[in-house]
Amino acid sequence: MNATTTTSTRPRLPTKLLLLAAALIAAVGFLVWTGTQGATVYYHTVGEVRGMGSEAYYRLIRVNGIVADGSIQSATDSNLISFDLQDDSGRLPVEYRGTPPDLFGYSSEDRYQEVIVEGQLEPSGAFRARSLIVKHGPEFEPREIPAQ
Amino acid sequence: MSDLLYLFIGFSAVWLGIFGYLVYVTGRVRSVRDELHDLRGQLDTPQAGREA
Amino acid sequence: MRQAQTTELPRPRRLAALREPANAVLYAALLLSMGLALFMAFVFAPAERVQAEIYRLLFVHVPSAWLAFAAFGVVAVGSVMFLVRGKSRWDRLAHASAEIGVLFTTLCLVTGSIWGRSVWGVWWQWDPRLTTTLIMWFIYVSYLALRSYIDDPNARQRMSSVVGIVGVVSVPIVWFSVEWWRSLHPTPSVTNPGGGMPPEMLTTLLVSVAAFTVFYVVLLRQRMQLELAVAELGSLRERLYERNEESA
Repeated sequence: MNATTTTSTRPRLPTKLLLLAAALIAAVGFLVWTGTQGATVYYHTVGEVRGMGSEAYYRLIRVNGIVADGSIQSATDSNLISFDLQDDSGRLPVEYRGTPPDLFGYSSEDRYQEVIVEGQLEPSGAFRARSLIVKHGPEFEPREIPAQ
Repeated sequence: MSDLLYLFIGFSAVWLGIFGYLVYVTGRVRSVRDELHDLRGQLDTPQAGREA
Repeated sequence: MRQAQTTELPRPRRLAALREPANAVLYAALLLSMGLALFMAFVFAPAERVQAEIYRLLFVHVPSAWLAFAAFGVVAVGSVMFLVRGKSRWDRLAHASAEIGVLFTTLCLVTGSIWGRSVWGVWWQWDPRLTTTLIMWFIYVSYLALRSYIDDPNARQRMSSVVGIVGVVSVPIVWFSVEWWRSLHPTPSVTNPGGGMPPEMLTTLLVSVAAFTVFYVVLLRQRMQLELAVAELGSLRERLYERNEESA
């Protein structure tokens, strides 16, 4: 066939190569292991945070939940927002200082109501969020054209 | 409004990335073929009757 | 050896000539599908209920991801075939596909980041989908780096074939990351019965995937021709060098 193809003989696998492969498999394996062990989770549920008790205080953690209907309150004289984060396992009052993402809000108002908050739980029971991330599901719907 | 800007940047990045890569690879193919052509020319000119 | 090379010389030129009509068809398909995909993404597909316009990034983000997966799958096939058959052309296929896969992964990360900034409110999060995608990107960037570090062609082909086979494990990990672990990134909208989108969006997405596939094929062919030309350049230079040695 081609001159350049005939120059390569049937390959043998040297040890260096097997070591490289082993390292790669180990890296991938580690990834799977840490994920399934729950040693590192991207976020906690409200119930998990509650279950940690005082251990959760002042630790930087992420909590996921749905913003409770009608619970969003924003101060008129500052950029402080507070709301209740809710899931099957409980309810958590959250305070966030800053401008929330544009799509943060109630589903009934065509916004996303699920969030991940990153911050610290305080002994008072309130969660002080330093970042507020909007989460959404895989559903896409057409925007309804308002009747004229 | 910034959403439309983000949308524009996203689409531009994709199409420029793909076309840029295509242009780059095509250019490389051309320059390598030019060089191949030159080298073949050099090989075809017999050097003081060595090829006999 | 030298005789074999002499008979091989005209081959790429002859094949390139034969391929001209195929090229014309491919490039026409490319322009048509790209134009159609753009039209559908911006005109045919309706605005989204919550996201309004920015969701249209879906039509480049998802095809980039899928084609990256496909490209890395091709790398694995090329690598296996090279180890089984020992023919350089399989290695060339793997190398070309890896480079294009890295390109598509990069585009997927970039569009995802922009989309995330707009909807999630953050450019980046170390969530499982984003993290595993970045790891996949690193694996194939290392694959390309490895290739450029090894001078001996035989060693290069064998080493990179092993990486090309092991590396493909990252594809299902990236795909299932959103099912296995808690993540910010949504689960698949198309293959997941829980997700979904209206038919106009789905059709647009499929047309976009088709356009990206045409692009992948065009890029792959072009990149493989480059591989072939570079390989030939190497052997030609060697011959010239040998001849000059002889005549000296």
